[in-house]
Amino acid sequence: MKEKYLLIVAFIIFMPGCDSGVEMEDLLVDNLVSVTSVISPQDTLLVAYLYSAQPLGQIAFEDSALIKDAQVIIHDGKAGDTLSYNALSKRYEAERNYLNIVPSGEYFLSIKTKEGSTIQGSCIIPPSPEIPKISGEYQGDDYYFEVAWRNRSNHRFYTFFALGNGFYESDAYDELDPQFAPRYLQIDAQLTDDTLYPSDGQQENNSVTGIVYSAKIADNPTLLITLRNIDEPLYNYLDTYRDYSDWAANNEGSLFPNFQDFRPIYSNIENGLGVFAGSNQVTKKIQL
Amino acid sequence: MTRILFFSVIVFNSAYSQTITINGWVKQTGSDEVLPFASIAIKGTNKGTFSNSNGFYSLQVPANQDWILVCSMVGHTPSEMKVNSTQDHVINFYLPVLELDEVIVKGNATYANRFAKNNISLHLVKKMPALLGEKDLIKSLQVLPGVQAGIEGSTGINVRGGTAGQNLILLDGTTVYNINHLFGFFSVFNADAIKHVNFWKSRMPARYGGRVSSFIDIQLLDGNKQKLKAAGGIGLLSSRFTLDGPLKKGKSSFLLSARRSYLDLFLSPFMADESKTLYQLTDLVAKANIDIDQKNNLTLSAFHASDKVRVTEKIERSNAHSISDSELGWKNATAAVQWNHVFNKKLCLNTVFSFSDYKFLLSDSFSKVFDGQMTEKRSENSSGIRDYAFKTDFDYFLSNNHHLKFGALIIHHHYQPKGYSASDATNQAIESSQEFKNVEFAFYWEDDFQITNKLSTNFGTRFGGVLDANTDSYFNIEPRISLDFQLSKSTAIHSAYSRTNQYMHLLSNTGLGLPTDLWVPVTQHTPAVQADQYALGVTGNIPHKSILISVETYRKYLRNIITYKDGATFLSVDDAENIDWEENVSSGKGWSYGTEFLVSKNEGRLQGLISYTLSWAINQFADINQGKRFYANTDRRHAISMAGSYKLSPKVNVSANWTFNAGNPLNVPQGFYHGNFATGADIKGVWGDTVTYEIRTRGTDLVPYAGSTNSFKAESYHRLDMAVQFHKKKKKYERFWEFGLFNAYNRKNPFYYYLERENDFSTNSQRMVLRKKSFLPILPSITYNLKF
Repeated sequence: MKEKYLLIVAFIIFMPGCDSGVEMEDLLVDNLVSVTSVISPQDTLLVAYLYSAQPLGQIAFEDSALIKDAQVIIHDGKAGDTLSYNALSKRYEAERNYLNIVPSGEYFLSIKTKEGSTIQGSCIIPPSPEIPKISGEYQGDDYYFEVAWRNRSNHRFYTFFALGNGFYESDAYDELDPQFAPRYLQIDAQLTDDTLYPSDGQQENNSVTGIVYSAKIADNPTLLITLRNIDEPLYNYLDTYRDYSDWAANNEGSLFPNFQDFRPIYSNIENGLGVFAGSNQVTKKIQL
Repeated sequence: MTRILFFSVIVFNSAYSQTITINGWVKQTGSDEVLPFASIAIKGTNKGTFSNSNGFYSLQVPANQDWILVCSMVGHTPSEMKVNSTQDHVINFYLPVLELDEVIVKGNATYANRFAKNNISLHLVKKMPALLGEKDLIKSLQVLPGVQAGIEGSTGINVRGGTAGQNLILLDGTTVYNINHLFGFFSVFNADAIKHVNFWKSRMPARYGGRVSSFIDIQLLDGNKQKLKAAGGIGLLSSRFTLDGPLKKGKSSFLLSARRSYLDLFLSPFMADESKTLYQLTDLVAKANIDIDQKNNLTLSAFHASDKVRVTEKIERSNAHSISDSELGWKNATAAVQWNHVFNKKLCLNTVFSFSDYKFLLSDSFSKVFDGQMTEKRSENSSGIRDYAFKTDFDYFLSNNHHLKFGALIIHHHYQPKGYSASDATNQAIESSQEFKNVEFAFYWEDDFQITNKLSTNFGTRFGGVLDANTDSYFNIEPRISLDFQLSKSTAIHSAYSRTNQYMHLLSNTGLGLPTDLWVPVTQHTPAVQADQYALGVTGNIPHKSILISVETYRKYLRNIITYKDGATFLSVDDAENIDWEENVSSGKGWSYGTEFLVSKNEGRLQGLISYTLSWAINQFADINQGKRFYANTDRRHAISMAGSYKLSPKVNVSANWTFNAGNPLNVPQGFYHGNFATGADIKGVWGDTVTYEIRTRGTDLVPYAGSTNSFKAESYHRLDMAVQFHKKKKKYERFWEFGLFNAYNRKNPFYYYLERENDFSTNSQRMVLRKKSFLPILPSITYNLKF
C-alpha cells in the first residue's frame, strides 16, 4: 500500500519535468558582435560597421569597441565582395566589383571574427520607388513644395528626405567670430512632418509637403529629394531604436521607472546583433 | 444532460425515506455571529455536511435512532448534540471561541481536508509578524504554496504563474478592484473586521467565475448581536478602531471599522512650506445585519478605501512666485444590500445587489506669476471602473450526499481606461477620454456529491459571457469538476479540472502592481481570457498531531492573455491625449505548471506551515520576442515559505516567518553595444565659416543589450520577520503589545532595476551600470492593541 502512495507522489513530483519550449537566445556579452550594414542597387561602396559588445560596467569607448580584424563578405551565393577595415572611416568598406545588387535579389552577409565566431545575415532588396513629382511656389523668400509619388509595388516601408542647396549671405555675419555667426548659410529644406521617418505607412498614392527657407535670396538654389524604400528588418531596427531613445530619455537614473518596460532593439543577425538590410532609392533634383 | 443529472439525483434521493432532516444555523457563542463552512458530522459515521457561507446547514439522519451530531470549526470549541426523533426539526449550534488553541476540527477527515487546504487560519494571520505591525490577510496568503508576491512588500499576488489581475477578490460578495494601500505595502482589508476567507486556486467551484487564476472570497464580520465590543490598535504607521454591537439585542447588529495613517498629520509640521510630500491612507467599513424573522436576514454594507500622495512646491521671489501641486491617488468604494432567505429546511437563498467603484487619478497643476504676468497649467489623468451587480445564489441540501448550489449573476461594467484633461491660462482646454460599457452575465449549478464513503466530487457548469452593443459578445461554457478519493483514514487523493473565462483585462505597465495598471474590457482585438487547469494531489494527515501534508501538481493553459507590446505604454504624461490602449497591446498564450508541497499544523502551542513550490510560467505573444516563447515575469522557479507561531505561555506568543522566492525573469539590459542608427533621412549641419547641410550616414549610439525577452533573472528574494506578542486579559478588557522586526537580517531585496550612466573622470568617459533599488530595510515596529 505504501508503495502505491509513493508512486502517486513520485508521479506528481515528476509531472512538471516537461519541456517548457522556451528558446533562450542569450549570447555571452563578451563574444557578442554588433553589425550594421545596409546595401542598395545604388551603392558603389559597400559598408559595414562592426563593434564588440561590452558587459555593463565597462568604459563605453566607441574606439575600443571597434572590431578591426574580421573577415567580412557580402555575396549573393554566386559572387561577392570582401570588405576590409578602413582605419580612417572606422568601418569595413569595399568597392562594389563583383556583386550585382538588384531589386528582389537576396544577399548574404558573412563575418568571421578572429576568435572564430561566424556571424550571418541575409536581406532582400525592396522594389525601386517610382520617380516623384515635385511642385511648388514661392511665398516671400521661402519656397513651398509638394512631392507626390505612386507606389504601385505596395511596399510599405520607406524613408524620405529633402535637402536644399545654394548659399545666401547672413545678416548676422560677425567677422570676428565667424564660427558663431558665419557669413554664408546653406538654404534649409524642412518637411512639414519630419518625425514620420522611417515609416511603415507608404500608400498607393503619397505626398509630402515642406518649405525651403530663404531659397529666393540664395545663389542658384536647388532642392534634392530622396525617396528610399527600405526592407522590413531595417524599418524594425530603426523603429525600435526610436522607441528605445524615448524610453532612455526617461529611464536612466534612480527615480521611479517610467511605467514602461525596456524595449529591445530589433536584430536580424544570426549569432550577433544589429541589422543587415536592403534599401532602394530614387533621387530628384530641381532648380528653384 | 444537466436536466437528466438533476432528476436522477432527485430519484436517487427519494430512496431515503426513513430519515429526518435536521437544519439550523451555526453561530458563535456570545456574539451570534454566523459561522460559515463549519463541519456538522454524524459521530461514528462518514456522513456529514458543512454550513454554507451564511452559516445555514441541513443534514439528514435516520429516524428513531440515537445519534450524536458534532459541529466543529477551526478556532472554536466543538459542540455535540444528541438526536433521536421521528420528526424534522431545527438545531442551532453555538460554538465558543477557542482560547487555548488546543482542539480543532473533528469528524470527517475528507471534509476537513477539503477546506483546510483552501484557507489560511485568521488566528494564525493575527499572530504572524507583519510590516510595521499591520496585520494583512492578503500578504498572509503569500505563504501558501503556489501563491507569490509580485514585488517586494507588495500585496499583489501571483497565483500559479498568473498575474494580479487574474484574481477575483470579493468582499461580502462585491468585487474590489484594487487592494493596495501605500503602493501595495498593505492591503485595504483591516484584519480586525474580517470573519472568514475562502481562497480557491485549484478546485474552482462553478459558483465563482470571471477570473482565471484564483478566487478570494472575504466575509466581513456581521457584528456582535449580544453586546457592544470594541477593538483597536495604535501602530507606527496608522491606527485602527473597530466597534460592533447590537442594534436590537439578539436581532440586529452593526459593525464600524476604520483605519487611518498619520504620515500627513505628523510629518507636515516638520516639512518646509516650500516643499511638502504628504501621504494619507484611510479605509472604512460599515455594516448592519438585521434578522427580520427566522427566515429572513438583511445586510447592508459599505466599504471605502483611499490613498493620496500630494507633492506641493512653492517658490517665492521678489518679482515672481510659483506653485506646483501634484497629486496621485486611488480609491475603492463598494456598497451592498444582501438578503438571505430560508425557503424551507433544505433550500435557502442569498441575493446581493452591489456597487463597486475604483478610480485612479494623477493630477498636476502649475501656476507662475512673473512681473505681474500669470501662467497657469493643469492636467489630469484618470482611469477607473464602475460596476452595478446583481447576484443570486441558491443552496439546496438535497441529501447528505448532495449539496446543490445554483444561481445567476449580472454585472454592468462601466470602464474608463482613460480620462485626460488639460488646460492653461488661455483657457484652451484639451479633453480626451475613452469609455466602454458592457454587461457580464453568468448562470451556474454545482453539486457537492458524496458518491461513496470514499469518493466524493464537486462538479458543475458555469454558463457565462459578456454582452456588448459595440463589439463582439462572448458566451462560454465552463465545466468544473473535482474528485476526492479517500485512500485510507488519513490519506486522500484529489484531482480537479476547471475551465474559466475572464471578461476583462488588467493592463500592467511594469508588473509592479501599481495603481497605474488599467482595467480594460474585452473587445474584438482583446477577446476573453480562457484558462484550462488540471490538478492532481495527495493529502495526508498525521493522526493525533494535527499535521496536514499535501502535494499537488497542476498544469494550466491560458489563451488570449494580453500585454503591452514591447516598449508601449498607455499612461504617458507627455502624450496622454493621443494614446489608444488597443493599438498598443498584443494578445497571446500562456502556460504554467508546477508542484506544490505543504505541511501545516493548525492546532496546539506550535502552529504554522511550511510550503515549497516548484513552478514554471511561460508566455508567447506574436509581437514580443519575435513570437517565441519566453518565461513570464511571474515565473519563479522555487518558492519556500515557513511561518510559525509558538505560545510560550498564556501571555506570551512568539512568531516568525521566512520567505524565499527565486528571482523572477525581467527585461533588464545585461550589456551594451554600439550600432549605426542613421536613418538615411536626417540631415546634419556642418558649421564653419559657411554653414552647410549634408545627409547623415553615420549615427552611432550606445544601446543596451537584453537578450531574449525576460532573460535577466533578478536576485532571489528572501526575508525573515519576527514578532513577540504580550497578552494580558483584564477584567474588562484585553490588551496586546506586539514588538516586531521586519526583514530581521536586513536583506536588500530587489524592488526594481535601473540603468545609470556613470562618469569616469580618469578616462574622461562614461560607463553604463545596472543598479538595484531596494525599499524595505530592517524595520522594527511596536503596536498596542486593545479589545474590550
